[in-house]
Amino acid sequence: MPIQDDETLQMYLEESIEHLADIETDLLSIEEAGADINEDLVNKVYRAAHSIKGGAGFMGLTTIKDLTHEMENILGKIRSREMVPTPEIINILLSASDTLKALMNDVFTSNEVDISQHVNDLQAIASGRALADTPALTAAENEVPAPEAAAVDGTSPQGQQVTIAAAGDPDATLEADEAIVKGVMDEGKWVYLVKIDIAHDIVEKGKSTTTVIEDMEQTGILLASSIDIETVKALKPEDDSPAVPFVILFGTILKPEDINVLFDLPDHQIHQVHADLTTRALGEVPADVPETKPEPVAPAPKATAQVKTVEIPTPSNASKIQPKRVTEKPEAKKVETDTSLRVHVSLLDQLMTLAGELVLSRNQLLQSMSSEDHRGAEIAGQRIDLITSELQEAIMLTRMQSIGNVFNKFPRVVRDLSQSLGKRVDLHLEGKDVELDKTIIEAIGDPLTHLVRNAVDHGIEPPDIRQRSGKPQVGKIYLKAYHEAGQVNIEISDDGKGLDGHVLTQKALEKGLISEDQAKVMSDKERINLIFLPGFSTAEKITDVSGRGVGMDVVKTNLDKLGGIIDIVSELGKGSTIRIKLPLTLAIIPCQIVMTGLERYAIPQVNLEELLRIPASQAKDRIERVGDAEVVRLRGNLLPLIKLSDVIDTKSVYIDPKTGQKRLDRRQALADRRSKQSGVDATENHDRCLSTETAPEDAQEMDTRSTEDRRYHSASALNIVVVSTGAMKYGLVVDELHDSEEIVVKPLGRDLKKCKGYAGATIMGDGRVALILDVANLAQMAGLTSLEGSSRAEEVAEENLRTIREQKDRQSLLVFRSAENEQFAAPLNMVERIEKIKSTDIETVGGKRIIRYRGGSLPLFSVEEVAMVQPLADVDDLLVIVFILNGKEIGLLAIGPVDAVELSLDVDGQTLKQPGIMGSAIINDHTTLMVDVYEIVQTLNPQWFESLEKITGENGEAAKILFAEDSNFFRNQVKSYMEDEGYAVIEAEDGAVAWDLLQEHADEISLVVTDIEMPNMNGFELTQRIKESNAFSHLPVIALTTLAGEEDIEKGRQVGISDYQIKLDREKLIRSIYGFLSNL
Amino acid sequence: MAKAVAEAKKMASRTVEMATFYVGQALCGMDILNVQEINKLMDMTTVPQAPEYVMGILNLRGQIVTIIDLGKKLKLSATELSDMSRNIIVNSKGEYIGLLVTRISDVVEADLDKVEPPPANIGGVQGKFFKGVFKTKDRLIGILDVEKVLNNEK
Repeated sequence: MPIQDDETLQMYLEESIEHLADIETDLLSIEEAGADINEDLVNKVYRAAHSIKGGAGFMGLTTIKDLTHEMENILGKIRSREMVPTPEIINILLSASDTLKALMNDVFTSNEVDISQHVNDLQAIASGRALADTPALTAAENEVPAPEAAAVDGTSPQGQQVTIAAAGDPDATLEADEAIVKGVMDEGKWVYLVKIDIAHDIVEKGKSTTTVIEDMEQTGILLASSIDIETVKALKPEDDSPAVPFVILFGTILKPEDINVLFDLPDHQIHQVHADLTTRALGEVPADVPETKPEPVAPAPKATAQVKTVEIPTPSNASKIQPKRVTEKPEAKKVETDTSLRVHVSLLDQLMTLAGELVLSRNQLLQSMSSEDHRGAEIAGQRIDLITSELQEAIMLTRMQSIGNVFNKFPRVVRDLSQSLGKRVDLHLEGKDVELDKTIIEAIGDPLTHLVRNAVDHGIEPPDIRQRSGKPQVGKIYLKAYHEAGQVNIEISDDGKGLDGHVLTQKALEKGLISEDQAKVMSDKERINLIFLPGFSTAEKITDVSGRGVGMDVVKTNLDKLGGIIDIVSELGKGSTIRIKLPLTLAIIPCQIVMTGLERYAIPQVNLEELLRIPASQAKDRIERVGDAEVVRLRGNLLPLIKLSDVIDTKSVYIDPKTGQKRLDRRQALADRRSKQSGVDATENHDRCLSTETAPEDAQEMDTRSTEDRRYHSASALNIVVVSTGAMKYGLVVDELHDSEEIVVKPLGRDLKKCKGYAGATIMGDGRVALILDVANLAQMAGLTSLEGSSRAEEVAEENLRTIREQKDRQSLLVFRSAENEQFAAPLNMVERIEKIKSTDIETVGGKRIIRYRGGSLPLFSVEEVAMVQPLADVDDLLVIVFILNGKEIGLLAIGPVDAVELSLDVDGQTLKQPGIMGSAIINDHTTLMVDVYEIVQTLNPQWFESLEKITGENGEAAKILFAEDSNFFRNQVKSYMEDEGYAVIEAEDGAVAWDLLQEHADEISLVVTDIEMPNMNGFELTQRIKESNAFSHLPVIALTTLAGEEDIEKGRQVGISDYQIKLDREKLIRSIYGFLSNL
Repeated sequence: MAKAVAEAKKMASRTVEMATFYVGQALCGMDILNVQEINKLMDMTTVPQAPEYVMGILNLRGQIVTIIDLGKKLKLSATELSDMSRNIIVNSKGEYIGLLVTRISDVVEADLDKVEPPPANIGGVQGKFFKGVFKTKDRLIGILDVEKVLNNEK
């Protein structure tokens, strides 16, 4: 290789690669402009190509030089307006510049790479308008199958192939490019035609062909070479007779006198080639030789064709020497990252200044330390603090690169792709100046490319479809980068067809990624996010764009690694927007510091969702076990819990609330109490067995502790770090939560590479080391992997089912007390208001208690007047819960605490039922009596309720009401209301039963009362059926509900529900029934 | 083995300064040029789930150093921490690693001519960890092959 000066080469390469990056975008702009040529732009590209060519010539990179030369030719023609830059021309130029880039990346073998295809194409365009050449060319191309990798087949602009033959040696002939040979000579080098006999000159001398070629490459340029393959094949080891001629055209600075130092050959085998392309054996007197002797190299089968059309570059036999090397090399070295970086000098100056200041401050610090000047040390410390932050910032800046580096390749990607897919796409780039850390820039290239390709391939529709759906034919893709909240956002949006959540769900179902149940309950957003599931690809057919094994899940994983977040918003038919959030840098990251087992750990803030502290008193309620796993209920969602100390197998520690000492935690489950009690109940025995190793002082404490449930001690609270990684979200239980800190990530040593739970280590302020946790791997280690995506959906499904189940019997209740330790509840919707009164204000008039209130008197009662409960507490401050019954206000005397709760109640309508009490339920761990206000008031003041006229059926019987309700309690309760009024009630447990009963008693039923939420057939469905059937459509339907949201009411009206009533509001229900029946 | 000896012989023309130290009862040595520094920082951060021989990690002027209990690594008993125990920081394949030893002994000038091939077992330690054995007047020093000791592959 003629390149000696590594630094110069490096500079050349860097410069050229920059030029190439510009060339690409500029070519695209030139294409866009079409015939309307922007001369400045063309000039710029021309100059770039020219300077690459110039450098290549200087460096001896012939292949690069030749290729750029051809490109330059065409650009020249475009510049002089001899040629219009059509997409075809640009295509060829672009692919040539791609090859150039590949050559640059692997510059040391660049001279061996075959560029004949490009040269052919380029020449075809350049001379393309000269029609005469074209037929010959195509003919030749047909004859000669696509040229395979031809190594040293440099083709000159003129493409003039000449055959150089050694005088007097018919074997030693070679075809070569005249211009190159001349060019080498012009550089002051000598050109030799060397015939080496592989058998005699190489093998016998103990050399190998490769070493010989390597030796030659160090001293000169291999211009052309040929070997007689047939002879080599025929060669047998013992057979020494046939010469295997290996003919080389070699350009070098070695003078004829010195050349044999390299070759060590007899003189007659080395021929010097003269300027007129004649040859002369070393030491021979010049003799005339025919300039070109179109003798083909003997056995080359293609040779005949080649010789006829001299102008075509032909694959020389040399290609067969190293065919593999030539074809494989450019592919292999793709994933290289820049090893050098351009930094503005002003930034370096700034760094230098800061470094200087740092040194000064250090001196100051040392001085004040030696003189024990505390004040001085403090000042110096502060300065160092400042300088360090500035230094850190400045150094970060050197690593910052604009995202334009990545964005700039997309116009090309989009153009090529849309062309091959027959689509028309406009790409708009925004925010190219946004800067990101170098490592991130390098890492987001591939994910972004995938997303942009996806947008073109799957997002944008073909023009005809676009037109049909009323969109402009040209699709638009926006690529936008901007800063927000210390992060960089990248948005890729298209105005294509968008994502169809249902299609995605269907796909996921087919592939078995999710279950049917999960699919049913997914929200639109969740459906769209299905594309991140591993093994999901939405492409209907596998194009060469998709189906390359890189799915969205890979994109997501890659972004996760960078600490990025990806999110999709899509509207069917309107397009999709993919939003990526990336941290500015990876080297310094904000982290939450936690403590477990006396060691600190850092959790990257990007993974952090929230911190949760569950007071010990709630631990038992909020932490549940699902199978083996413990979960915590967080705002209606179940969050799986992982105990850090379990996963990484260390000891959990807690602070003993009594002694203040840190002690080992021996709980089996999170909801267990920390320590063992000496209680005798059986449930404790299990725990006690485990505590055989209990420390002595533990034993001493046992007695004192037995009276008090340790769970209620605040020190036993659970600290949970809610982290998310990809689709997974879980709670990490740690011993202590500390501050959030900015930390510097340091790698771990090789002995710790196998510990998957750590992403690295960092040094804390006190100089100690803390490990950084890798939350994704921790989840994996804890066996949470299955949670990803699909089980998240399962969780949601479960959650939804639960809410459905709960909603149906959900009831708002007012909880109060009458005596200290007896809790009551009344339906909140019946409560008008609550007043505070003094017990001394109560007057007893006419055997009834009243209180003067707003100018009138409010009758009062208490629960014990009717029900057998404890008497009202004798206290000064009382509460009056005011109800309105039959238009009259009445106050229920009670005491606090009052609380409004919304609960799904399991009401027991039997055990504790008695006059004035409908039943009982457990609310907040207390058995609570449900007060039947209506019954109490009716018992106390029967005269308040005038009986409504009894409605009877046609034959004088009581009107029959069909009542559907699945809860026993409510069914009995409401049925009794209706029966009290003299109606006959037919009960049904659900809608389906009700429907059957309706058929059975078709003629008798005059009204339907139904619950909404019921299994099998809900109230809406039942109503719909009734209203749709001819026989029953006239029946009024009253819906009973505990929740009467606007939406539900609207939905009810639509299916034909005549009225809504609230369960347990007896009065209104009866009036409503009366209203409907009297109107019949 | 033979190779190690040959290597040792090759360097025989000169003497080598060796840092010697005790791993349990065994006296070992290594070329002092391998030693980056010796310190007595024992405030390590334990790494749960690390290999058994890893004592923890340490901050050495901004570098994270993995501290290895040389006793355990050589399949002897664990090194007991005391006032005498020290970390010998060595640089292996571009990474700093600390070797926790029971105590530090002298720096010995060893004539490589007198280095003998290691026996199969030196004080309970497998011979493969040693480059050779050097005898002083009253003591026997096993010369540790640091790279072999730190190599984790079997």
